[in-house]
Amino acid sequence: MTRARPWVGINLPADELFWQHNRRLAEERAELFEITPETLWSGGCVEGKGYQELAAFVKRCGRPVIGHGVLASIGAAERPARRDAWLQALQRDRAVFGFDWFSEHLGFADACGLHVAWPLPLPPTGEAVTTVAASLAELQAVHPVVAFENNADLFCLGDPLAQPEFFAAICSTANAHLLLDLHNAYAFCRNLEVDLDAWLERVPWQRVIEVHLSGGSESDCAWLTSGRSLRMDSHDDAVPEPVWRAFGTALQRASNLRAVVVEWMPDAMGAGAAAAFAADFARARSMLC
Amino acid sequence: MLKELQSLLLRAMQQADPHTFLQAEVQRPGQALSSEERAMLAAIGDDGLRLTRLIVRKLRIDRLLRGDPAMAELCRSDPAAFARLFASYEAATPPRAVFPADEAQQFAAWRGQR
Repeated sequence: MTRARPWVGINLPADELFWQHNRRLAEERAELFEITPETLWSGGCVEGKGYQELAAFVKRCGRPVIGHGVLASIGAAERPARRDAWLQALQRDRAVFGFDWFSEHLGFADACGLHVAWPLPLPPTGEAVTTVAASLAELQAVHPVVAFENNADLFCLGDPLAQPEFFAAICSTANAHLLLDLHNAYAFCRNLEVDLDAWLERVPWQRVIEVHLSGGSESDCAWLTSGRSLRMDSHDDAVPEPVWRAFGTALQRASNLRAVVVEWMPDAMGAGAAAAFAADFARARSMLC
Repeated sequence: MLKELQSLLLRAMQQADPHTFLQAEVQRPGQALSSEERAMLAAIGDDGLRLTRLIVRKLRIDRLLRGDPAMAELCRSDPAAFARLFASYEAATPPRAVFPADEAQQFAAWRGQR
């Protein structure tokens, strides 16, 4: 029996500039939409600007929708005080948008009462695995199918090549899936000076449910006293060739892959960016046929 | 302990020189860290930490600008004045807000106390 090919979709923000340039792509070509609910919330996790319009659009289209979070802080050793309100809001959003599954970035953004709005790396320890699994269990009470995403961490706790084994341990302990962001993997390996192919070799491919494709940018040499430039996960450029090669590998190995999402940051959208975004979408789609 | 490690990393993000801060803290007796965690923290590179801190600061500025139209206007019209004001705010107020409206509220409270 042959499996159905994965859907190819796009991230769908409620941003006017994004819609101005990508309406046709969204309405006519995207097979799936990925929505980040928290970007649609205002303070207190209540529905914010664009929430109802986006909900109406995806309902009208009738295509699959997946939820994607950034700041649930699933690796935080101290359960964030906002967690209950966050989960209640996700429950509401699941009912509204009908998410097929939900993913969240791996990492922590909260500790000692502080919040930094950016998931920081976790150490590959048993305690971290247990912590993430407990958070994912809370998410699973809202969304039965959950995944976590690898980040483009700019530093690493432990051996960078051991990171995929850490992912495998979380997947196994939490019965969760991996959202493999290939540009993040590329950036991480480049910045930490490890071989991307060797890193990919260690990925728990059976657990990969979704792949992200995007581009990024180089940091300004003047930003660091060393004069070094690092690769950043800025979602503001075309998918680079090393990421396309990694995508080819992923298509061969990820036998449970259900979705490929091409991402572009709404803030970085314009006519040229939209053309590149559409071209990346078309290339991803063609590689699946 | 994971809790201690995370507290150190988040506090490092508030420092002008996160690497030096972290190196000093890791050596400090009494930290509830395993030898493995201590070694991992000590091995973090300066560049990655600094750039991460830069991103964290940028995100806080973004939150404030989205939550406070007057600050967004000041950032456009007089970036240097905005940068000075933000630096004072940042030095006096630890980051706790998740949403732009919350950051703007914290900022207003800080200005009210000045």
